[in-house]
Amino acid sequence: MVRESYRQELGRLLDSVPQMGQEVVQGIKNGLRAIETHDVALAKGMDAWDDTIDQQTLKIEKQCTDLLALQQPVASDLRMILSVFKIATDLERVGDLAVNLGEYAIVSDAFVLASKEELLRLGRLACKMIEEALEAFREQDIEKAKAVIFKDRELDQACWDLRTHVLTELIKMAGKSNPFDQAEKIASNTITILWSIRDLERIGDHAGNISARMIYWLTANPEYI
Amino acid sequence: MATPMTQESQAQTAQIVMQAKQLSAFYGENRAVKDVNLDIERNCVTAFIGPSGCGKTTILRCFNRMHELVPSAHVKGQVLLDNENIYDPMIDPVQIRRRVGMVFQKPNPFPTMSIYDNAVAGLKLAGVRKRDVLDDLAEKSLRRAALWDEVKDRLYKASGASLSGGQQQRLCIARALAIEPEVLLMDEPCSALDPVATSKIEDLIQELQRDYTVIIVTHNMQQAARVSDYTAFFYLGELIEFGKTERIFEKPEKKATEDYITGKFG
Repeated sequence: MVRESYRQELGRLLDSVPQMGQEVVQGIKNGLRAIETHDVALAKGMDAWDDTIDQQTLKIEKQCTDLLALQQPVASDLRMILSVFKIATDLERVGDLAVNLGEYAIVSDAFVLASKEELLRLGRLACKMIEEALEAFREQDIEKAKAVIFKDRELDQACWDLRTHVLTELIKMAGKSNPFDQAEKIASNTITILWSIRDLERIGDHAGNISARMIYWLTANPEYI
Repeated sequence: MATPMTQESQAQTAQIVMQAKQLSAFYGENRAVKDVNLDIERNCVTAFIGPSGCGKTTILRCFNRMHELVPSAHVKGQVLLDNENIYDPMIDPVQIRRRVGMVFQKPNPFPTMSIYDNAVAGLKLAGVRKRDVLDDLAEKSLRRAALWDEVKDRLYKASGASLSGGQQQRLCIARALAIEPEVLLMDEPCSALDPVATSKIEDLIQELQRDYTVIIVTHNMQQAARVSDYTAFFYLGELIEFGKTERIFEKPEKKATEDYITGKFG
């Protein structure tokens, strides 16, 4: 590979992040829509979609490995490749979490303990963070990336509040006598809602990771990682 | 009683074996090296990198007064070896070249001399005549150059030219080491060698830094990254950036360095 094609290969690697990111964002939106409309078919179709995301991750990893093995990149090129390698893993994990959201949608009455609308609000916030992290990456805008990292605190707090609300409701319910099968259902619903909150929180964390890696690539500063 | 600051600066000075101070090198009117200031740390490998014509070989040749051997070439500024200006009129350049040895791009053993005679050529020139001293230093330098095991059975019969390219280069390193220099200058020592011979020389450079200070000019940036502790990047005769090799190749401070090492120019 001569130097010109090396630069083209770096360019292709760079483009692969927003391309994969766009599909992952669509996956989160589908997961949230499946919850909103209780669309079981949409939720069940997400497994096949996740396979394509896994394939894209492997493709990006292969591109990175080839560049490392064949071109011995250094300085910002090296940081970019290492960052993209890690970002691909973040996006792949977000894809898995989007599939989880779809699975929670299948549990029809999971949203007894917390309002579905509140969960969707958090979901939209997490999704927006991924979109903004990808936009910052595409535009190589460090300030935008920092804003995503700071926004993660907002999401964390909102997740904490909702979790507290769910457990408060659960304790209130525990005061009432519940037949065994109903108690089992409440437990199952509680697990579902708590997991979905946790997953949304993690999507926010991945948005922060993507931003931190981008800052590291451009500045060599690992402070936000 | 010395203050802690003084002790520290003394320790730092002890670590510096060579220094360039406002060093400029000329070919006639043309200034090939411009006001370079550079410290070379003892028992470390320092790599000089930069595109062709950047002055890296010229400055290397200033470090043992070989630059002045080119007609019309001259130097301004100072080069200190153990705090002594090697361009002081009282200093004998031949003595400097003994203390600062050099290995060239193309292996240049004396083709008609045996391996043994090649190894001790510098010593004989320096007037060493005692056979046991010569034998001892020949073995020592061939061992240090990681060549002894390959040639010990044909030291007197085989000529320097009968060795492979990589062996010839190690023989030249042995020849340079036999006179026990403090500093070894290497001007692209692997550019004429295959990858196997190159990796042997690179391993050798790592070994040599225990006893010597090595300065290497290389066009191969991966080689600079692999073997050196410090890297100096030159461009158009100026020292653009100097620092720990790790830092230069991971996060260079100057855009020109970044552009060069990532292949955006040069």
